[in-house]
Amino acid sequence: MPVQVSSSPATSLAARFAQRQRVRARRERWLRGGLAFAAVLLGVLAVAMPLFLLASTRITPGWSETLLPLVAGSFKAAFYALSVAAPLALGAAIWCARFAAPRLRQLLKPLFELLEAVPVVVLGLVAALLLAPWLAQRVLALAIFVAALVPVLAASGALWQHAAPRRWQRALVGHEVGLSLPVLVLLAWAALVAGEAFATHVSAAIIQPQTPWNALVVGIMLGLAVMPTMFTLAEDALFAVPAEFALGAQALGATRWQALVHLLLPIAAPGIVAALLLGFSRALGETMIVLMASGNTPLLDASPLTGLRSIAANLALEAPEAAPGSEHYGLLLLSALLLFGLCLLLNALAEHVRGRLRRRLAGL
Amino acid sequence: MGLVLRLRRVTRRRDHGLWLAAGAVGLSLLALLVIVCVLLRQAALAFLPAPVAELRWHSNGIEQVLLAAVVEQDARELIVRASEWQRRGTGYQRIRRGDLVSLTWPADVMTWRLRDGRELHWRSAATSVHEAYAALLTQAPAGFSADPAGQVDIVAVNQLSTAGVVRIALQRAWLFVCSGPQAGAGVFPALVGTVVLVLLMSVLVMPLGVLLALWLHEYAGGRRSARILRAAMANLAGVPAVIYGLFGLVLFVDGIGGGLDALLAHKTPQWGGGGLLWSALTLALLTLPVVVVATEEGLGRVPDGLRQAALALGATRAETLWHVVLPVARPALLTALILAIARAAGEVAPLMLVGAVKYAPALPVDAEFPYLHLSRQFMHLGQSVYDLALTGSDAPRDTAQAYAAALLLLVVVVGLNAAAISVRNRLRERTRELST
Repeated sequence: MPVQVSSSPATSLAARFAQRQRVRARRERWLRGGLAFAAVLLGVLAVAMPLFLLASTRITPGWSETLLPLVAGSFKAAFYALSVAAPLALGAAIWCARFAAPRLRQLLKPLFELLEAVPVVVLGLVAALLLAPWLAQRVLALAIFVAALVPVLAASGALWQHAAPRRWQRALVGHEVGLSLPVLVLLAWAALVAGEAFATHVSAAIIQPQTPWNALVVGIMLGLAVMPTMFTLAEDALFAVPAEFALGAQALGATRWQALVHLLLPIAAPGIVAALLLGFSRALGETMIVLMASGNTPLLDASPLTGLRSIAANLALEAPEAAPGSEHYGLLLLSALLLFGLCLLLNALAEHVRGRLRRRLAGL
Repeated sequence: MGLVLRLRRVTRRRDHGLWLAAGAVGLSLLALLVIVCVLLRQAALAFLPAPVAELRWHSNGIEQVLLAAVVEQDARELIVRASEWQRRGTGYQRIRRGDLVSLTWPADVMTWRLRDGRELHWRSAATSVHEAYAALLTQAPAGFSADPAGQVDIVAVNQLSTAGVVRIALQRAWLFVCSGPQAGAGVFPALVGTVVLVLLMSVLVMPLGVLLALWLHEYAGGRRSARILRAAMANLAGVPAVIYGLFGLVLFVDGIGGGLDALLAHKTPQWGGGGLLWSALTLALLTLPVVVVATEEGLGRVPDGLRQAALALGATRAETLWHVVLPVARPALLTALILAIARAAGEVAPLMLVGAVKYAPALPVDAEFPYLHLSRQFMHLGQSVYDLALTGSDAPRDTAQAYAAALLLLVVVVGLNAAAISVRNRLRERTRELST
């Protein structure tokens, strides 16, 4: 009986090992290739986007007359949005990062993150169908509210610090937001009543908006939409400043507010500037709110009481109907390229400023 | 001593700038609260059964009687909606307050809501549905016909208890979510469109995004090319969504789609119009930075010790990634996916350019081969909100339904985000355990 001659077990193992080694090496190469492919693809896309827009752009005579009101509209909407969002976002960031009780801060931050997640079309809906008609009759009340806001809040703060028992003050340190809520509600109610009372006054006629769908409404809603983004950036910047700085200043006799204004804000300034820049960039490109609540009239003025038409809203309105290759199409792409360039510039600037903040904080 | 006290008082006084910051937080919270309350209230209006009044008024000296629901009223006039015998949205009437003789709420009014969204009102003291239907036929104008099977509900609307009102409203809300626009206005096709779109987008974006993040974090490190790519990503994240839409329109729809049509010699554009695939690709581009950033953050949280241990045991880098790093970072991948979905689900502007339409005759998924129709136009929840709000034919009802659709969208998106936040927090705890 012939003995089955098997290859020696040692060689078999070596062969299998070598085989396995080859498979492993191949897998390694594939993975590296796949990763490099993905990277190259993204690089190509990032470059392709502006190039594609550029290639299809056509400059026709008279383009500036068409584009100028759109650019003006975009800037008008973004300006009013920022004038609503900046005080809200910075105030909230300062409070959350520096004054809020830790438990309250843990509650507030996710709340702002959720506010950021609200789809803009929902905000646009509320702005177009409810806020616009409601506000058109109450611009005077809004003006009174905004004018009285700062003095009333400061006065109620002073009153609290002077008149309230120490024990209460100590118990509520870090929770003053709760105290400000009734003040705000009362103030809003008083402003509404005052607005009604002065409805026939001359000043009411001056600030009567020409249309319910105006820059004021857009500014308020767009401001609410971009506020959470700015809040997150500014809050991160302020929170990253070491606590010892504030404590040191307070130990030397500064109040909490003085420590903030003279020490923390200057250190965190690049982060705050970056937040403002990014907020402006987002407001420039935001489409749905402007599309729904601005009336979409191409105007060349800066008044908050008239409508506007922004580049982004114009794109959403006209691009589906434009025939590829036509002059109209070329002009639309030109406006898109303009918007793209503006946003890119603002983002790059913001990134640069944030890099500065990072270096500064690393130096501390 | 007195001087010190006075000084303290003065410095304390400078502290109330702090209240301005607190006021900013308060104002933001109030705004959020008001928006949510307003949405809830307006969406409820879409479903609550409206009480029906009997109106008597003079018109050109003739007294008229009408059973109608009061839609809007102010000091000068009423806008009412009477029975819609013919078509939805045809029963509206304007009545001047000066002409109005009486307005009463009779108890024996029946309201029949049909499947196509119409509402009929008539008076009948009948107890059974059949008797009530017979009474309706005697009161209906000539030529009226309706399929009794096409009912949603028949209720004695002025006699409903609170529980009854809630039950009817919930029923109608459920029907709104799971029926199509042929039946009055439902958002089912829009919901399906949104879900299919978002799933397709996830399938497209996740592999690419994860590969990119792996390359950036595990291979390229601080190389120059990685730095450039990171900068490109940061800039892509800041590009307005509508520009992505335009890019999709130019590149995918007109470029690739048009080219495909020319290649396949289609008479009518099939790929050269907006469609599901192009929209999903556009959204995938839009959410790529989100996925990459979230995944990279998760990879950064994987303790280096694990990687080094795997490599020391002789694993190749690919094996380390596949068997050690990715399993540990799995919650981060999940977070990235959820964040991408949340971002994509709420986005409307780019879809208006590349394929979402007001009314699509067919769903993008059905039982016919190839089951998923990539070139079909589709309906989208966000687009429905926009269309119902601004271009509805039956304004009072359509705007109410726009709020309902908006609320649905809000619930979906905020729910997804809340899930992402909670997953992220759990992930943090887990990696903390691993690194200790």
